[in-house]
Amino acid sequence: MNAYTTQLEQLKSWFFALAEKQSFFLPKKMEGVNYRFERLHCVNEQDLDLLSYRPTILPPGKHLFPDGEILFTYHKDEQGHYHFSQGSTIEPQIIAGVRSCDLKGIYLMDRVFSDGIKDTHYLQRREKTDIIAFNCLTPCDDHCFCETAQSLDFQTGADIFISPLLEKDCFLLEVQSSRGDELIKTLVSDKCVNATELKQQAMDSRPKPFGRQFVTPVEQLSEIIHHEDAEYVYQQYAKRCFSCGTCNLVCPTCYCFETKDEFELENSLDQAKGKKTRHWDACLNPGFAEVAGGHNFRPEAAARQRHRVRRKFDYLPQRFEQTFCTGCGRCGRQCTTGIDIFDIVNDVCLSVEQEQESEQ
Amino acid sequence: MKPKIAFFDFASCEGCQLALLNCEDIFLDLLELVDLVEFREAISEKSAHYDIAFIEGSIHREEDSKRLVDIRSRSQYLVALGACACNGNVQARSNFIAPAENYQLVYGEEARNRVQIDKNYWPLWAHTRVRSVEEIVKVDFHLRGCPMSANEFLILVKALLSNQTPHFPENAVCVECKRNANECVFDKGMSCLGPIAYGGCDAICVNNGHVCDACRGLLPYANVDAHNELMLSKGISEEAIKSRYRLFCSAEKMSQD
Repeated sequence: MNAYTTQLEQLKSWFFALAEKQSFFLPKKMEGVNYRFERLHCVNEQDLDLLSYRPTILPPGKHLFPDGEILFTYHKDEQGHYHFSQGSTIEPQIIAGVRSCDLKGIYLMDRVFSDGIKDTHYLQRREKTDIIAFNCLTPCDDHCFCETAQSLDFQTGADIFISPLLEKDCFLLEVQSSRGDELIKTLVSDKCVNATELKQQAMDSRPKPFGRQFVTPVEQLSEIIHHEDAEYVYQQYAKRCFSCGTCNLVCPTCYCFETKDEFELENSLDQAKGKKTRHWDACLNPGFAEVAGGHNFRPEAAARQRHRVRRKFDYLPQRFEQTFCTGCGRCGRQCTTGIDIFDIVNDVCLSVEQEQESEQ
Repeated sequence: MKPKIAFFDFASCEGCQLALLNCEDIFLDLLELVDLVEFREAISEKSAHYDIAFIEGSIHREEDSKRLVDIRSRSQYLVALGACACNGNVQARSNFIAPAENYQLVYGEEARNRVQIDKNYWPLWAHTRVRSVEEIVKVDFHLRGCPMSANEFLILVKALLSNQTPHFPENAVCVECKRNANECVFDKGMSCLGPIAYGGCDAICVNNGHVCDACRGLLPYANVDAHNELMLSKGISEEAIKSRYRLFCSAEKMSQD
């Protein structure tokens, strides 16, 4: 693996050079306090705020799984035969400034979408996406809990992994793939011989503990979340839940979708031409678990909250042997009433401890 | 025979019908497939039976109510079109003010006195209670919003004409805000009714830098208590919050108390 050091100015020029050639996405500050991955167009258009940006509203992985994506279009010919063609064209893209938590989110989605029947729409986009990730030396804000969720320092899947070094405006770039080698050609940099040492020095400067910590080690959470109904805990959170689905839609590991069929009118109703699209769905929305005949498996908000927590800490970890919460903190940050999966998990664990104490 | 479609307007600005006329390309396609039998904004034919009756506007007078019942009896599907028909819209705010006081607000003190003593003005009293269409007749589908969304209109008509049941998810506006990667209105220092309001509008107001005022009505599962707490925590007075809830939704049953 090759490593290079470079300065902030060189890094910026490199980004702009890459952005001239293809779609290049980078976090950009919005009107209020939030950031969004937006296409980088020209020099001076935006400040490159790589060091301090608060996690974006939507995780970068959503660029691999866009809402409203056309799965296929179809038409019927004069003989009555149907013809199908792939919907959206997939262009190469670079996503830069991806933090470790989001990198892990993308890694988990790679696992999900290639498990069993492969999701070619996702995988084709993933194949055409280069990722330039960014290491964190401080927690991004009060909502962060990536260390305890085991996604801090996650590097898998990035073509280039950038770490800020102790020396001001100095960065270490680790090239992790042949595509990374291709990308880095245009960067003005020096080959680094003591990369491990420099990186370690920077990482040693991190605060300890790094961000919020679960009261119970993450390895034990699956067991607890699986066995405890913790009815009271979930009901307390459900009291202020709007069932709006925000927590799902901003989550880097929520991938549920619904599909819609649409036909074109064209002066007739014989549905000879149309398309199938897919749209992000959310298990906190009351209609999510409603089935034909009108039965709803989770009509109460508390049941939906529990379902979401179990997906992240029990059901999916059972299948993929990984916790499906990356600790990015988005759900708690974006929830208007401050419902945070971190707090729910801790409260469930604490309620178990209290139960055990009262039994003794 | 082509299906017969009719539009009827009650108390409204007829803006929803205009919103439809604005999407000429869709509308002209549609006209090939249906017989438009009543549409005051465009034609003046009449018919004895309607396959789809679109009702625009809120219901105020007893004669309006009777007319609506009559339309219902002659229609296979009845659709409430737009915020006036679905949840009363702004005119329903008067539901919370004593009628005489309303006349004073609009026409001055003399009017307030006259409607109370002069028999000729008594029919005006009938205007005092604003009702949604559903309060009077069975509504098969709601096309919400002020104005209604042309996209939803098309989804509904295509589905009904091809014997399918149109599906409109009962989700909050927040869903569409997230799909559009909008910054939360609360994070911009303003307040929003999106978490308790019907989406389906693609969050058009927030997309364009405004806030949501729930023109599409409050969701059946709206957690109004939690929303009220949230608004209070942002330093908004109880009176201002109440007024906000009543802006578009005063003819809804849940906002009566």
